This record gives sequence, structure tokens and C-alpha cells, in this order.
Amino acid sequence: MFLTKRHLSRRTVLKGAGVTLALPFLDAMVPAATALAQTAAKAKLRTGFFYIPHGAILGNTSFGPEMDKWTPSGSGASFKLSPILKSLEKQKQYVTSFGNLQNAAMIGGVHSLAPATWLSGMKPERGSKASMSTTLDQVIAQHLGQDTTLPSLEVASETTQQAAACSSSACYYNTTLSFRDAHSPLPVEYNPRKIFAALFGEGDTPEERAAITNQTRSLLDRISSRTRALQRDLGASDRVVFDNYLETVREIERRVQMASARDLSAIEVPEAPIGELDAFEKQVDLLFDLIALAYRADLTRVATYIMVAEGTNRTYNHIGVSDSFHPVSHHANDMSRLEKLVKIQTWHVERFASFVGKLAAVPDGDGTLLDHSLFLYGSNMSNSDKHNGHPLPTILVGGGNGTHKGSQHIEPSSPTPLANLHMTILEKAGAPQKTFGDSTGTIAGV
Amino acid sequence: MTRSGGRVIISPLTRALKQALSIGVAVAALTAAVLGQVRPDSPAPAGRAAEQARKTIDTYCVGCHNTRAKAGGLALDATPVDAVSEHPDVWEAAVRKLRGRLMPPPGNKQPEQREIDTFVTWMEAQLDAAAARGPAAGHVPVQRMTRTEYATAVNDLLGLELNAKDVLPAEIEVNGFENVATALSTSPAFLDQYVGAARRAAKLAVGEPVPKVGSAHYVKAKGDDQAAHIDGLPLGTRGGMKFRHTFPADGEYRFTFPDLGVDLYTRVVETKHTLVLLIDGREVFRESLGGPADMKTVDRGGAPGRAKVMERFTNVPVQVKAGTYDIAVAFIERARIESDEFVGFLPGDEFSRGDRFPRLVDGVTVRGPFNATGVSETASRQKVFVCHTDDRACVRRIAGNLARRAFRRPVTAEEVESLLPYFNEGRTLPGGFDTGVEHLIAAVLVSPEFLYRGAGDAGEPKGSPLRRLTDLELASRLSFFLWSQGPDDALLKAAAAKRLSDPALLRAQALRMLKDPRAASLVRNFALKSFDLDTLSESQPDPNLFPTFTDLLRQDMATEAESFLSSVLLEDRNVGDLLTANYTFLNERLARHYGIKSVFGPQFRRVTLDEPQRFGLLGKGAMLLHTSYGNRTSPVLRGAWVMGKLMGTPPTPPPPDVDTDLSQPKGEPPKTLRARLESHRSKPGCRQCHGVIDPIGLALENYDAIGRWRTIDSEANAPIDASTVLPDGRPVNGPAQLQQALFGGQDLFVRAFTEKLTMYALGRELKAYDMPQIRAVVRGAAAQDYRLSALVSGIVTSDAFRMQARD
Repeated sequence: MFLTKRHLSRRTVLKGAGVTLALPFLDAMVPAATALAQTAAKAKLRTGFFYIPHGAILGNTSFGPEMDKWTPSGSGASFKLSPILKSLEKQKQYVTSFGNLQNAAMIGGVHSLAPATWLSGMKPERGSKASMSTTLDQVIAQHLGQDTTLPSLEVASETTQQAAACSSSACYYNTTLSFRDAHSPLPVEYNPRKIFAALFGEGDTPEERAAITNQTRSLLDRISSRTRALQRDLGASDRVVFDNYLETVREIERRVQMASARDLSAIEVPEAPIGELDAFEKQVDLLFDLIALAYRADLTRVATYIMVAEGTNRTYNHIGVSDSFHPVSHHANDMSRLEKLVKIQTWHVERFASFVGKLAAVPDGDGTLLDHSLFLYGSNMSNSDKHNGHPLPTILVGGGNGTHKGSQHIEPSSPTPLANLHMTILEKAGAPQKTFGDSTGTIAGV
Repeated sequence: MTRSGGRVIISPLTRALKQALSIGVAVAALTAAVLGQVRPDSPAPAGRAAEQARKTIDTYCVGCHNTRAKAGGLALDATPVDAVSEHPDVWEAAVRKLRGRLMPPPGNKQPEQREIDTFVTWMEAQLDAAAARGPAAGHVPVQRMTRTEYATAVNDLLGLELNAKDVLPAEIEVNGFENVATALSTSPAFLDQYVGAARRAAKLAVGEPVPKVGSAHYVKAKGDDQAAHIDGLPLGTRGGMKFRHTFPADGEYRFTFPDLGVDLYTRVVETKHTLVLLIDGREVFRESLGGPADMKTVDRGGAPGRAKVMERFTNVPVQVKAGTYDIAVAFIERARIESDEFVGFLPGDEFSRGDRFPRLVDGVTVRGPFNATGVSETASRQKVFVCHTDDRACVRRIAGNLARRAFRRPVTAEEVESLLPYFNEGRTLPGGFDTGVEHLIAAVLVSPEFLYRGAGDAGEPKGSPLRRLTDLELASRLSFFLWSQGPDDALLKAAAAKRLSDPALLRAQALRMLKDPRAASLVRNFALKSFDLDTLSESQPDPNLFPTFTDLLRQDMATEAESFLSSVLLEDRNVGDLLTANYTFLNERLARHYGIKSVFGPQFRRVTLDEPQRFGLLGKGAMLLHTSYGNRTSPVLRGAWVMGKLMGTPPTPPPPDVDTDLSQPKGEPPKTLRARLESHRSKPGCRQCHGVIDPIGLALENYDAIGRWRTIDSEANAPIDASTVLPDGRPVNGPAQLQQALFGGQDLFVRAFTEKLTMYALGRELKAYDMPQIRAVVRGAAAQDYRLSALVSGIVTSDAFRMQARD
């Protein structure tokens, strides 16, 4: 009744949530060659991290390579996609797949560590507080994200607060992919309306927007001054809580500054979605569209997306799989279950491929948005029946501003840390690090 | 005074005294043995009892938990039983595992229940005695309100109806609870939404003197029956829907009913029906649909004809005063026998079949206000505008009143002054005085004094490792515990008069607050979360296997669970009734689902049960649905739920790379789930945990995946066998026997419940040093039948609740 109802009147969608709401966001936007697309002096790299839980059917079942439905073969012109990845056919020159990657950090947590260690490559410390390390996306956001309204965008198609039961510190690690620093997990948002508000703010007219900006600024002033006053009387650890709070205040001040300076006149902002959609398949697509829109309007250059929650019991009736995803992922090498998992995994890649296809159609500077993107798609588990971390299904997609050559499958000869790929991505994003997580180097030839 | 692992004990004994005592150990032990009692401050064992305990450990535990094998990182052979205070964590864990009979693992030699009881009783007495040497409390860091608490507090402060989910990002839940202080961090996303929420809440509270035209669409429930009466709508109506809407100003609002089922074929308009619209029970619109004239228009007019008919239901103008009201839309039920007209559902071919009456297909849209005439008194404005004159004195009064309630303490003149610039800022805008107040409210809502509790009012005396909470801190801790929001005036007054440091008066306040309707937050924010029954929407039964399952039935199960928890907790019954009560809350739909035929009508009512099938939580659809998969039951999930939520002994997660191959050789006929699980339990690696988990779940196999009672497993076409053997060797058949075997005659459930309640009350995870206090609370409540009031009294007067360790 509140955020979701009446405050974005001009854009309010009158149709019922989940029933008729189809938002062809990208189609609704201004036609291709806009001022925005062309004034960009140098193309900005967009990065994205797309997560699917519960592994993939590679050669990791008792059937071995014959049941590998994930791994592509060949390279260059003879690069041949697997059944699960088939939908990326049109963009396969942008696709590199990786074999023999492992992530030791997820081991031992069953499901609970899988999301958060995907982009950290390190195991959290035990204790009552969150203790991870800055995740890959956030390292990149610190480097790439400071010129945009949102340094990064964290979304999920459904609440991630489920199934994978947690107690104590494990609770921090199964709900998000992103840690801003060791102790700061970033919440993921699954309400499309709130994501929309974060991207485009409120207010229908320039005057209204200016008034809101002014009020927000003075409220932020109050938060900092009162917080600093309170802080004086506190013990050391409580002071840290408020230090962190003040840091977030500064981040939002920066955001307000960016937002008031941004020019969205070239973008025809579509109507705001009404809220979470009941139909899962529409919800998944809507979030992809919101990410695409954010890239396109250059509101963020870093996004993470949990396409379906770790340990989810969601069913996929829309593709004829009535089993819940998590239990069927304990396939016990049963062929009918393996086939269902292949269906689910194929469907998720299809949704991703559709998103990638849309970006390939959006001109951006000297190329397309896809030319200027670098996306990691995969899971932080290999065989969901064993909760193990090798080999991880992983692909890299996008032109990477000319730094990424696709159409190939790279298979290191020995098990290689996933963090080595993270190192490689950091290099391509212009934010090289000496080490990252348990990395032992980069991956050559990507 | 000693310090161990973040826990602080103040001991009345000096080090010298302790040394003197340990010299006198032998004498003390002897005395204790002779007198048959354990001296509370004696570190020595009570002779033979200690020997017996040692023997129990050596016989059943040390085979694995020894210095060499170190199973679970434990070497019990090297951990003396006569110095429990050195390893309270080890022994608390041991006691827990034994009480829940998780250890020794199934398949290993099992002690007699009597032997376990002897050991556990003795060991707990040792632990309690060690703890009695001084108060113990943990450190709870400065605590941000959760989004639920924020919404509750704002709603109470301003008379609004915000929904936490729409306002702030999801919180990290520890053991299902949102309010664990260490997990309540802030992020840019949080702050962004938080500042926006403050702005919008302020606007909603004041209303909009210069409103914009806005529109809202309300969707009707999926799968409802528009042919029948809908619960909550006026009697004598059918179909329709109800919702609450906030009107920001006095003025004209336009209602649209976009789809009433009028389509290409005329069946919907063959007969005359009447739609009514009510605002807070007052009829504001009545219009008929159907009958010969409409039929003619629809039949001959095509799309334009239909549009013409629907015009009567588009942009219906209604004058409404500002405020939040119940909106009801329904059709007046018509007698089916007043004519020979056919009203109902007609099966038939594609062209003739379907509903032969209009119905609400999509929902209702409200647009407005048009020609707004200002804002009249609303509940919110009455709370905010304690005066109405546009001068400094009045603004100060408004600011002081809001700040005191929001900050949960008396405020200083300086604090009131700090809010005035926000008034001035808004005062210059077109809304004038009202907008000034609106900006002032937003400033109150973003104040860290509101968002964080336990900040700024501590008055920390330095030096002592443990301190008593101040009266104001106690007031906040108490009211967030019982009400999920700040204290009311009575509690603040008691705090200001320093009366809460008196345990008896603190207890009296707690009992008063438990009787207040606001204590319902304990059901929503504690009980439903504690039993993990607040997320039923995640369960998605396969529509092909379970065609009778609908969203409405899911909602009914949630209503039943909430009503049941409310009745036991808020009517102050024995909390053990949660497992045994012979009544529940049903409407016709849910009763039929349960196979109970004596309940009619859509409204929920209390029903006394004849059969034990639905007694207690184990028989509730919500729990049974929640612990099933989309296409089958899961004895593992159910067993784990019982262990984690009821017994306080959650199973540990499976190790990585565990072999979970349950598949059967090709060509064999399908086996029951039970048979498949049994073959799995025969593997020693699995058996250790599943030997405990599965039997519990199997005893509940008579409930199918959507909670219906069944006697046949339809997949395997075999009778359901709900007989199992618990790890201690006791046979059990079905839910009633399971309940009796696990919980009958002992306080296992009450302990687990009290632990969770204490964790929720404190906003932190429990440590070994809390356990003696938990046991004391449970013991203290025994004489009062373990009523919620008794448990709450014990918790709020405990040291853990009233004290705080330094960090």
C-alpha cells in the first residue's frame, strides 16, 4: 500500500501484477541511435555476475562425459555449444567456457557458503559476525562504479532467505553474492518496483525531483551530524557500527549528487513495475530487463543477479518440471532427474541468452552494449548431489571492450582455482590485483 | 572475576578464597556426599555421582570422542567431569545431544533412558552450580531496528499502515529471526530506501494539502470463488473483494472495475446482477449489470457495445475524506429461485459453457483526488498535530511529542531545537505549515536515536565488565521484545521514575504488556518465525498431482497456524499445548481439506477436534505443507523440522561429497519413499544422522504433501506405514505416539521454546553461559503450567536480560 501503490503516479501500471504485466522495457525505450548512445566518448565496460544454484550436469555424474550436457567443444569456427548452452548460439563469438575450475571456499558449507564464496574465492571466518572479503563485483564497482548513480546493483528473482537453513554466521553467506567489505554483506532486492525506484528515483517533474533531492540532502545531513554526536559516548565496537553507517551515508550523498546531475532526457523511462510478479518466468525476465535498462542508461556498470535462490524449492511447471529444484538436484544419478535438471539449467541459460541478445541489439558508442560487456555466468557447485566444488560450470560472455575473445572452451590441465578467472576478469576490467581469494595466477588465452 | 570467550563472570570469590577452597576440596566433596547435596560454589564433584557420570561418558562417548580420534573435535577422555566450569560449552553441548538422543549415534550401543536422565540431571546441576557463582550476560551491540520493527514503530507513531516489506530491504535472518543485532548491518540500499521511506511516511501522515492525482490498482485473490460469499464482505453478497486504501486528501476519487467478465458471449449478462461499493461499511455506489437491455447491447453492439456497458463501471466518482478505509466491492446475492433464470456455471461446449453471471475478474482501480478541498482530520493527523497554530510554540510541541515517542525517552530542548530547521525548510513550500510539519516528521524518522536502540542513553560507568541496563534501556528491550516497537507512555513513565530496575515492577510491566493487543507481534515476529511457518508461499505443490490445492487453501493454512499460535500464547495457556491442544481454527474449505465435515461457511472459528490427527502443531497443514516438496512428502525435512523447531536439537548438515545415491536398480517396481530411505539408512555414513531424523519424519507419513490424511501411498500404491523405531529403540506408530514419545512427560519442548524466546528477547545468539539461566526460567515456570506469562517473567528478570557485558 505504500511504496508499491501511488507514489510514482505517472508511471503506474494499471494492470494486475503477474497477470498481464508484460514489460518490453528495451523496446519501450528510445530507438537505437540516441544522443546518449553516441555521446559516450569512450565505451564504458559493463560487468555482470549471473548466478544459478545447484551446479550443472557436466561430466560429473556417474555417467561421465557421455551425460555432459554443459561443456562445449572445439574453438573458433568449429566451436560447438552444448545442449544447455545452445541458446547462446547467435552470440557464441562472445562466449568462452571453462573446464577444470574449482572453488575450495564453498566446500564444507553444503549450500550455505555457495552464493557468497562464488565471487570471493575465500572461506569466511567463523564467528558471530559476517567475515568474508570484498567480492569480485565490489572490487570492480570500486573501480568502475564511481561515475554512475549506483556503483552496483544486487538483485534476485525471489527472496533468498529460504530453504538452505542456516544458523549463526552461515546466515550471512547464503543470501547474497556481494560483500562490500569483510563485514558488509549487501542485501539483494527482489521487488522490481524498488529496483526501479533505486534506478530512477521519484518525482514526475523536474521541480518535484529537485524538491525531493533537496529534502534528501538535508535529511542525510541530519543523519551524519546526529550519528557523530551519538558516537562520542559509545564503546569501541559500537563506534565501528556507526562508522560503517556514516560511510553508507557518504555513499548515498554521492549517489544523490550523481542522480541530480544525470540527464535521462534521452531515455524514455518506462512505466514502473507494480511489484514482484507471481509468474516466476516473467519475474526472471523482468529483472534481466531492469539490469539491461540500468546498463543502457548507464546508471550502473556492475550487477549481480541470483536467478533463483540457493536451496530453492521452486517448481518449473512452465517447462514441464513439477519437481522442486532443490530436491530434484539431489539426482542420485537417476536419468529422469538428470533430464529434469538439464531442462531447468537450459531454461535459465535461455533467459540469460535472451538478455544477451537484447544487449547485442543496443548500439553503444562504436559497437553494441554486448561489445562493451563482460558477464560471468555459472554456479558455485558442480554436482548438486554431492555439494562439491569441482569442476564448476562457468562461462564468460561479452566483448569486454575488445579484451575478450570468445568461441572457445578453455580447459586447464589441472584443477585451477575459480579465483584465477576472477583475476583474469579484474585485469580485463582494468582493476588488476596481485592476488584474489585463493588465486594462483590468471588464466591465459581468454 | 574471570573472562572466557567473551563471557564475563563476576565472582564474589576472590582468587585467594578460591585457592583456599580447592585445598579444601576433598573435605567439601566428602561433606557434600554425606549430605547428599552439591555445594553450589564447590568445584569438586559429589563423589559417586561424578564417578557414575565419568563411567557413562567412558562407556558411551569416549569410543569416538577421544584424544586420538577426536570425533567432532572433542576429546572427552581428556575433559574432566569435575571441572565443568572450565568447559561449559562442551558439557552444555553434551547434555543437549543426550537429551535429544542424538548421541550416541543410532546403531551404537545405547544407554538406558534412566542412565541418561541421571547423567543429564547431575551434569546440569553441576553447570547450574558453577553458574550460580555470579551473574553472566553477553554483549549486545548497538542495535538497529529491523524493518519489521521500523514499520511497526512508524505505524504506531503516525497511525499508518506501512508494510515492512515494501519499505526496507530484507534482513539477514539468524535462526529465523530478523532481530539479531550482529546481523543488522546497513548498506547503501538500506539507507537509500530508509530515507525515502521517511519522506513518504511523513507525507502519508500529514496528508497532501496540495495533492497530485495518483492511481492504485488492487488485484483480487487468485483462485477465489466469485459465485460464493467471500469472508469479510457483507453477508448477502457474493464475489467481489476487499482492501484498504489511503486517501491523501478530501476530494473526489474515481473507482474503476476494469473487468467484470463481460465478453464476446452474452452468458454473463443474461440475468440481472447488482454491484455495490462500500467504504468503511457505507454504501457509496450501486449499479446493475445484465438483464435484457444489457444483453441486447452486448449481443448486437460488439466491442463498442461491451465498452458502453462497462462505462457504467468506469471512473465511478465518489466523494471521500482523507484517511485510510476498508473498501469492499461485491455483488448482491440474488435468490436462485425467484425466476427460472439460470444463474451459475454451465458445463457444455466451448461456446456455451462458463459462468453465467458477472464477476470481478481482475481487481479495482482507484484514482484521485480530483478537486481536492484540503485534508480533514485523519487518525494520523490527530496523532501528529497536538496543536494547530502556526507558531514556534506549537511547532516545538509537535516536535517534542514526536521525538519523545520516537526516541523512546525524554528529549532535551536542544534535540527539539535541532528539528526546527526542517520545519522551516518545509514551511516555505506551497503546503505551508503542513509541509513544514511533514519535513519535521521526516527528520524525526531519519534520526539515529530512532533507528538505533541502546545508543546515547547508556551513561556508561567505566571499569566494570558487566553493567546493569539503565531503566530506559530496559524499557526499550522489554517493549521491542513484547511489542516489536518502542515503549508506550506508561512504560516510559515507569522508566523515568527508575522503577524498572526493580525486578518485581519490571515483571509487572511485562505482564501488563502481554495483555495488550500489541503483544500480537510475538505471534507474527517470534512464533511464526520460530516455527518457520511464515513462508508458506514458497511451497508450490504440483498442480497435476494436487489439483485441489489453491492459494486460498494456502492462505487458510497460514490463518490456522497464526490463530492457533495466538490462542495458546496470547490466551496464556501452557506452551506445551502447542503440541497437544485438541482444538484448532478452521473454515469450511480447510475443514474439508482435513476431512472434517461439520464446518460450514468461509469464516474461521475455533473447532474442538474429535480425532488426534490434527492435534497440536504436528497436525497443522502449514507445517506439513512447509516440510514437503512440490511433488511428495519429505520425512527428512519433517524430521529435521521437529528436531530443530520443537526439540531444540537441529541436525547438522550433511558433509560435502556425501554419497546420496538413493536410486534403485533399473527394472524394479517403484518402492515407497520409506523403502528408499531405509536402504539409505543402512549405510553407516548416513545412518548417524538420518537414523535420528528419518524415523521422526516417517511417523508423519500419514500426512501427504499438502497435509491431507492418507492411508495409501498413491505413487507406490502401497499402504502407508507410519510405524518406526526411534534411535533409543522405542517403537512409535503415527503422529500421536510420536508426540508422546518425544515430548511426553518431559520439558524438552518447553526448553527449546524458552531458548528461542530468550534469543529473540535479547537479540543475540545464546552461549553456553546462558543455559543455566534458561533452565532456571523453565524451572520457575513449571509451577505456573509453563504459561507464556511465566516464561516471559523469568526471561525479563534474568541477568541475561537485565545486564550487558562490555565488548
